[in-house]
Amino acid sequence: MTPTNLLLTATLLGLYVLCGGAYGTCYTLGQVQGWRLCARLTPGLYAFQVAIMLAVVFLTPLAFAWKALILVSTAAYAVIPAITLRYLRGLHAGEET
Amino acid sequence: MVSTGAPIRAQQLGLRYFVASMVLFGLLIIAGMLAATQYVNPNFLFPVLPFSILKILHINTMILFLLLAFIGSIYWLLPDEFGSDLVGIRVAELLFWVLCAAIVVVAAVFVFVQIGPANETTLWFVNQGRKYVEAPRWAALGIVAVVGCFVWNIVGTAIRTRRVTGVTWVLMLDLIPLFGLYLFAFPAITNVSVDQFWWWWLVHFWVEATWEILIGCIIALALMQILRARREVVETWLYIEVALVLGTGVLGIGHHYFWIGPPKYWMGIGGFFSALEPLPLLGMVIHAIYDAGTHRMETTNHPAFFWLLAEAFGNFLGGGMWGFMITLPQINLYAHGTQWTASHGHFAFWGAYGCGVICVMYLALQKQRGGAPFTGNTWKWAFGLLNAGMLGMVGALLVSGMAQTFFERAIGGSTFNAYITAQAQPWFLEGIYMREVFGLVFTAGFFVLAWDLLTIGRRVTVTRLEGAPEGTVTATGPLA
Repeated sequence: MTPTNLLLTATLLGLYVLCGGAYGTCYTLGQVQGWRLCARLTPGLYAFQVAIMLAVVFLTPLAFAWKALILVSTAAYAVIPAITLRYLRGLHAGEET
Repeated sequence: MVSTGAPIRAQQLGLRYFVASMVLFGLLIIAGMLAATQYVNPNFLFPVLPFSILKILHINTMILFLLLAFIGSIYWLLPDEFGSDLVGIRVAELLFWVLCAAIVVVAAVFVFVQIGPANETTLWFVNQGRKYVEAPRWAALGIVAVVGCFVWNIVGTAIRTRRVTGVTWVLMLDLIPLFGLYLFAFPAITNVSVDQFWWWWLVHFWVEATWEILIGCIIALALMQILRARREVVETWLYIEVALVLGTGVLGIGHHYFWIGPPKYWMGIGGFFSALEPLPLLGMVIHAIYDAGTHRMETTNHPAFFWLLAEAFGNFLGGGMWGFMITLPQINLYAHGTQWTASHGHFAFWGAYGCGVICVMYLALQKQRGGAPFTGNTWKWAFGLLNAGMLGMVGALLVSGMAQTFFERAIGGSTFNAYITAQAQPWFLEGIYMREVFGLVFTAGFFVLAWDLLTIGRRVTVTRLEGAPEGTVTATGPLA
């Protein structure tokens, strides 16, 4: 790993998680608050996270196992907001009625 | 509910713990700012108060600030949960003053004695030498006594009242490792790898396991008061959180074992489970947004609610994002122990715990001051200054840390010469200067917070309408 690759890889990993958080936040705001802008941004943010994942896979010298882990994590990030929200709605159903 | 009037003894003790905790918060900021100034001007206060001592003061007051706030939160919240004052509260009151005196003595020894002859006398009376648990053995025994009494207060009350809820079960089970792990502070192991191996059990399992569960229990109890959330909802979420945090956090200890001598397989284990740690934090962010959305911010305690939201986001960013940048072994080889780690540590502690305990302080004060809605602008200034200051500090440290990692570790090969070279790099220095600036912003935020905690809700005359439920109040006079 070269010094430049080191900084690039770490920065991409940080941005990867940040995008995951932004995607989850926007998805939830779009669903719960009905904010259209957030709802529109949601797919774009996830696409950006996928793009960062591809950059990690193709541009960084991380070992294959870590790249595979990030690939699987990207799938997990896609469904976590929806699953969590569905579960929360079920859990809070008694309160909302 | 125990009462709606004056706080009972455990709750009064909880308030005292909050006061002590805030004093320590102030001291940790002073020590941190002095240490930060020494990065800018290495001769500052040298040799009267060297960096090594200021760092000890900074991180130990941080641990005690949070620990005392946790204990205060539990003493405040549990009487309502048990429907009773706590067992053995008189001993707890006595031990509180003993603990305060011990903290003063230990701090004085750190400042005025500083080092010992590096024998048993030093271990017992000056400094045990391990980061985060430097307190000499006599003081560490005192902490064991206080935590032991704390466990007795809770378990004894549960036995006496026979009223154990899901939250209190989780809390009591969590107290076993919380108490037991601190005992790792005592052995003086001469093999540094073995010593570090067990020392990380104390540090990691406190910070990324038992404390996470403790703050989870505290927030669960707080949510029932702030948002009037249903118990079954809160408890179900607490069980899920505990499972996820332990599922990723326990073996996540491996990220501390990369470079201290344990077998190589810890790299795979530590990297894998650490990489999963942001996922439950994302779930917490979603839950926080969901709660904020469905309740439409309808709460009588906006400061507590906003600090609760800050905790969810701060935990995700500080622990999740900042941690993920440096947790994989190939990166961590170069980044560990640099300002990058310091950046992650500051953000994660603040997000995961600092914001949470401030939330509970506001909650306790609202009840103590009559239950009037907390409005006004002072808390917003405190919230803004503290969080902007923290974001600025961790951003500045991130820049310095990246420069240090690049020049000292990756290019320079971690030699002493490379260390000195990296310390003189403009990118490193600019980060260090900006940390000082944002440290001042954070300090200003602390003073505003302290002022707000002292005054909020005091200038309100409250009359509860006859027959109205608790929390429904008519406030007359200016709102603080």
